[in-house]
Amino acid sequence: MEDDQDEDEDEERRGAGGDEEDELGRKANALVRLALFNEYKRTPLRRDEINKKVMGDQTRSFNAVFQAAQHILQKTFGMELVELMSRAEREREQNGNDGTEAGENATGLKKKVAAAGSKTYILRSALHENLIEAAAATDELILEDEIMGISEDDDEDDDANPRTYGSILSWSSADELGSIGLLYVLLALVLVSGGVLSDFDMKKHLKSLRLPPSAQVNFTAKTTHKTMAIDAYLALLVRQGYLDKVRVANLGASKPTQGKRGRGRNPTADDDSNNIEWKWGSRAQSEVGEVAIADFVAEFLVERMLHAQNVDEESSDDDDDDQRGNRRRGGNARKNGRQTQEEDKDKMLEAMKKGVVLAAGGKLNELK
Amino acid sequence: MGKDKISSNDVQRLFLQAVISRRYMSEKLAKTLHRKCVDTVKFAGGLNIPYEDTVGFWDDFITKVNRSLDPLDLEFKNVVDEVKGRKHYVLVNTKGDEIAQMATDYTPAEIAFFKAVVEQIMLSPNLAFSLSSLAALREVSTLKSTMTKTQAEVVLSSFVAKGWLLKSKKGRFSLSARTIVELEPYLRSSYNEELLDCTICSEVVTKGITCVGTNCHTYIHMHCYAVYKRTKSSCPTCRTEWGNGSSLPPIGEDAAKPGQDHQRRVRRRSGADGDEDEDEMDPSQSQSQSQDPSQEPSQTQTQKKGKKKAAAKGSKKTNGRAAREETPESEEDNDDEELSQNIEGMDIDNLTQDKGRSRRKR
Repeated sequence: MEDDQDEDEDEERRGAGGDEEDELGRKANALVRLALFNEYKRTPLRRDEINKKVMGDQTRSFNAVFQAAQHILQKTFGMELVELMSRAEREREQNGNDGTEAGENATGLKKKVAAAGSKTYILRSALHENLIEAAAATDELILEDEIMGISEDDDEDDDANPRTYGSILSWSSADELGSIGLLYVLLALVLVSGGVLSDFDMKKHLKSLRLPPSAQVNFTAKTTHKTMAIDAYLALLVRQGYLDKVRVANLGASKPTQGKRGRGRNPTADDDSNNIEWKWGSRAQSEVGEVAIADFVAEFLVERMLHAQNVDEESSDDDDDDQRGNRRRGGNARKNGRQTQEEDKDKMLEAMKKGVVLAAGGKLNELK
Repeated sequence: MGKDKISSNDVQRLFLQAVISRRYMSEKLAKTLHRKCVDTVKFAGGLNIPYEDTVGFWDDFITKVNRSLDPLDLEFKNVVDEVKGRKHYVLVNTKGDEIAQMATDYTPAEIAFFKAVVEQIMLSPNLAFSLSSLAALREVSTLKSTMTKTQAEVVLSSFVAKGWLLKSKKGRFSLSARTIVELEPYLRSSYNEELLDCTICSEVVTKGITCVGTNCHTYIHMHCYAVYKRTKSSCPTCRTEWGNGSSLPPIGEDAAKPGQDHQRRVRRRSGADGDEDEDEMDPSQSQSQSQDPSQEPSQTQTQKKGKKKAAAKGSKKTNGRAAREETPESEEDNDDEELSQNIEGMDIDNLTQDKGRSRRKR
C-alpha cells in the first residue's frame, strides 16, 4: 500500500512540470470540492454548474478533468461521481423489462440516448459493499463515545440532538432518518406495484400509513423546518431525484400533435390525480437500487412474520407456568426449532424475494 | 459497488467517509473510529493491518490523512472546545471560494440571519461574546427577509443542533468551537478588533478570563488558565498578582451585565474603514484602547490603520468592510499570509502590540 502511494506521488511530481497539467490538477481538485460540498444539499450536480464553477471557459477539457477528479475521489475518499440516467434511459430500461426483443430492437436507439446522458451527477460510496455493511452496524465502543459527546455538550436538551446508533458511518447525523424511512417505504410501494403507482393509489397508501394530505413529516432539530407538509416533502423528493412525478396523457384524448387541445386541457389535468403517476427517480436508481429495496421489503416482512410466531409461542409458554414438564419440553422444542427456524427464515426470504420481483414486473434493475 | 477488492488503503477512505458524515467529533471518538475502521477493513478483507493504540501511530495517521486533504483545501483539524477544554476534531474548509458557499443547506436568508447573530455576539459589550435569545430573535427584524420570529426560533435551534452555536443554561448564545475554527478567516477579517487571542495558546478566546490590570491585554482560555495556575499565580504579561484567580474578570457570558442586550449594536458600514464605530460605548471596554482601534479617538491613527489594511490587502479592495457582504463561507481572498501575520503579531509581544502594528505598517 505504501508503494502504491509513492507511485502516485511520483506521478504527480512528474506531472507538475507543465502548466497545462497544473491547471488540470487544480481544476480536478476544485471539482472534487464541488462534488463533496454539493452533496450536502442532496441535489444532483449539473454539468453546467461544473462548467460554470470549475471549468471556466475551457469546457473542452471536461472529460480529462472529470477523470482526474474521479481518480482523486476514489483514491482519497473511496467515492465516485455517477451520472444519473436521463428519463429517456429510464423509460427504455422499463420497456426493456417487458421482453428481450424490445431491447434488441432498440439497440440502435440505445446508443444514441446513452450518448446524450442526463448530465447530472451524484456522489456515492465506491467502497466494497461488505465494508459499507459492516460500517453501518452498531458498535458498542463508538456508541459509548458518541453518547458521551452528546451528554457533555448538551445537558438537558435531548430534543436538540438526534439519536445516534454507534456506526462508523453516522447516518443519523448525515441524514434525516425519519423522512428517509418514509422515502424507502414509498420506493418499496412503487416497486411492488410494477414500477408505477398512480397518484390515486399513492394517496391511498399514504392514508393507510396515517399520512393524509394534511399530515406533516417530522424532522429533527437540525433542520430549519421541523415539519413539512406531505405534499411539500413529495415535491422535495422529486427535486432531489428520488421520485419521478409523471403526467400521463389521457388515453386517446390528447396526443402530442394536438397542441392546442392539449394545452387547453392542462389546467384541469393538474387537478385530476388519475393523470399523474409516480415512478422511481434517477437518484433512487443510482443511490438506493431496486435490489436493495427488494431485500429491505423481504427482510422486513419475514422478520415480522417470525416475530409474530415467536410472540405466540412465548405467550403460550407463559400460560402453562405450573406445568414444568410441559415447559421443558417446550424449551427443547424451541431449541430444535432454532435451527429449523433459520432454515425456514432463509426459505421464507427466498420466497418473499421472488414475490417482490414478480410484483415489480419480473426483473429488478441493477444499481445504475 | 463492490467491484474493487478491499485493500488496506480503505482504512483511510472509510475513516474519511465517517468524518464527512459527522464533520465534528471528540478526539476520543475520532480515535475509536480509526481503530474500528482498521478492524472493519481487516475483517472484511481478510487482511493483516497493523494498529497501535499510541499517540505516535495516531499522529502518523492524521498526518497522512491531512496530506491527502491538503490539495483539496480541506483539513482535519484539532481544536479545543472552550467550555470543557476537551480536544475535538473538525473537518475544515481552509479556502473560502465560490464553491465552498455550497457546503451548507441553509438558505441565503438563514445565512444572513446567522451572520447577524454572529455580529451581535462579536460586538457584545463587556467581553461577553454572547447574546440573549431575545436579542438574537430581534435580529430577524433587521434583515430584509420574510422570516418570522417563530421560524427564526427553529432556525436558531438548528444552528445549535448542527453545532454552529452554543446555547447555555441561561439561554445565551455563543460561538461554538466549530464555528470559531471553521469561520476563523471570516471572523478575523470582519471582527479583527473584537477578536481576542489567548495569551497562552494564541487561539481565539470567547470564554475565559482577563487580567485585573486596567491596561493589561491578557486574555486566557478557561482551560489554559486551569493549567497555568497550577504553577503560577501572577499575570504572564504584567506580572500583577492574581492570587487564586477568583477575582479575575471573566470573558464570556459571565461577563454579561443585566440588560446589556437591550440595545442593538451596529457598526456603521457606510464610510471608509476608519469610520467604524459602535452605537454604544462601554466604559469598561475603553481600557482596551490599543487593542481595539475602533475606539481610538485619534483620526490620524485610524487613517494609518486604513492604510495598513489597504497595503496588506492590495489595491483591489480599498474598502474591505463594505465589500465584505458575502456569506460566511464566501470570504474571498483572505490571504492566509495576512492571517498568519496577524496571529504572530499578537503572539510575539502582547504588551508592545502597538509596536507590532507599526512594524507591520512598513
